[in-house]
Amino acid sequence: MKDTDEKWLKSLEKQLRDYSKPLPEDDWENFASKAFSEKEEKSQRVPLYKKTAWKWMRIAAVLILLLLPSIFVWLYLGQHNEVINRVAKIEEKMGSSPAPSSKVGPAVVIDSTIVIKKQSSVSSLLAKTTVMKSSEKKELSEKENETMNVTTYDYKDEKEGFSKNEQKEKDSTYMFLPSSSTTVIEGNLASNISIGKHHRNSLGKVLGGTIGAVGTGVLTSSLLSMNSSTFENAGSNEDCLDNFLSTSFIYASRGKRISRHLGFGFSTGVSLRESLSEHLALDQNLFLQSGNWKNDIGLNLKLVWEIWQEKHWTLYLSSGPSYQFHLQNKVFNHKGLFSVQLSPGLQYNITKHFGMYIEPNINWFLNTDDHVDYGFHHLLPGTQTGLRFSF
Amino acid sequence: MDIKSLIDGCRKGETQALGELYKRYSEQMFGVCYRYVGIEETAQDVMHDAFIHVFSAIKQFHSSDEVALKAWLRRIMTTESLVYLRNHKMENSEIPIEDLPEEESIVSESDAESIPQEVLMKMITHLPEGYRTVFNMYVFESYSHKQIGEKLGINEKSSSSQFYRAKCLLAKQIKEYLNRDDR
Repeated sequence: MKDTDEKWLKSLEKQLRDYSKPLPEDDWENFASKAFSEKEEKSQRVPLYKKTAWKWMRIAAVLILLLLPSIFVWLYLGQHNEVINRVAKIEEKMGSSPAPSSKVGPAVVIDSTIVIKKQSSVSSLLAKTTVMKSSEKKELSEKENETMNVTTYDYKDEKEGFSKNEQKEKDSTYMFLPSSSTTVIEGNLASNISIGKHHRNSLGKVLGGTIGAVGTGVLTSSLLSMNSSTFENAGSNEDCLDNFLSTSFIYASRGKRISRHLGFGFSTGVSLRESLSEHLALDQNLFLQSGNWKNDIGLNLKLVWEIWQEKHWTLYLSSGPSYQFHLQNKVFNHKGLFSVQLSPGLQYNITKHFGMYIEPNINWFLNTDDHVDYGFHHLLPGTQTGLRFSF
Repeated sequence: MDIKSLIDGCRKGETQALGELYKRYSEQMFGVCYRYVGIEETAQDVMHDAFIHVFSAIKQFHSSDEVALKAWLRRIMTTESLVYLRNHKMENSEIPIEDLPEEESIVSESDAESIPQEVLMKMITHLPEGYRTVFNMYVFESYSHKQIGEKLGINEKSSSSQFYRAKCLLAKQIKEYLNRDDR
């Protein structure tokens, strides 16, 4: 304040600084009854033991949500190490014997169901074949014919999904291994950033509709583990690790609430996914395939039913058909994959805009793509867990 | 109850201590809210809300000094009043330029002192909302115009001009009141 003209203001401030006005006599009683009764009501609404139980349930839920991806990563790393160890062992054996094919015995295959790559999209996995050099083909084929029931597949028809090195060996023979000894573990780690008037699940408790962009990072591992004891002696063993390291997904969706719990939404989008596949054949033809790009264009329709919802938790069930076109190595596969997905979802809303969710899902593929005619797995389970941000 | 045991009791959530705190300071704090809000009933509601904040935040108050306590209470009352005003912004609360006094009336220190407290308070509460808010913050809370601008989300110059207008209006009212008294 300026000294010149503001002296009167200072005087005014002094006069009014401690201004007080008598309040009604029962003011405190009125205030206390209102303030404390509200407080008591609130505490009566949720008893302390329930609060504690909720608190622990929340902690447990967060731990579970964190643990699940960790288990998945751990399994993946375990499998990866196992493959490397087996490679090392075989290399060691091979070192002592320059002619591995003569050292190993014939494989005995009881079930000749073939497992081959399912070049689908989200739930893609399973590609296992043993690659053999053409020089060995004849020798082993003779043995196979004598001793085992193994189905072979001519590589000549294959044009997609293999690296250039492999393509040089077009006259190689592929031997497919039994699916009965296949173990598949699949998981996703995803985070969604959504712009729009979302609510607490993927579709949103939206009245006006939502349009936005989603960035999704997905780590998926599909492990194909074969009965190593059966094949180790045959010298024909191979493991496949498909790791989808990143995915970007742009989508537009619109949701509408039909009733209190039922929400309906439509979403469509384009996803780009980078896949790193490691194929390890555990004989002398060790090879590694990596950097396999996969691009999917998908359309899907989703129906979401919010089963239960409270401040911190949302339980929902979503289901719907999906149709996806597949692009690989710049080749457009016009024959799309049609599937139906059912997935219950549970989201823990840590804050209003931030939540962790887990969505186990089951996909039913109604058709296959061109190269999947052998023991195709129509029913594929999966789990997606991640973080979801809503604005 | 001395101030230390009063604050300790409030920290422990003792109803008696909370009641004592309320009774001891509510009338003064009402004055703070009233000065900002300008309506007695509303000021009382705002003060109640502010006291609920006081009760829940008193654990974070680490002093046994009464001056500090009063300053802390005053700050909470001011904040609560500003929140109220922000949420219930009045439309067209500014006075048209032509209604503003052409010249600033000269008010002396003694002029201000000679006017009863209640009358001065009425004059302030009758100022347009925007002017009143800036005037209160500048004169009673000693905020600079820059700080007022930041807190209210307005331009520093706007704060300055609103204060000037408030001051002119108030000076005019004081002069009118004194002239009326002379007669």
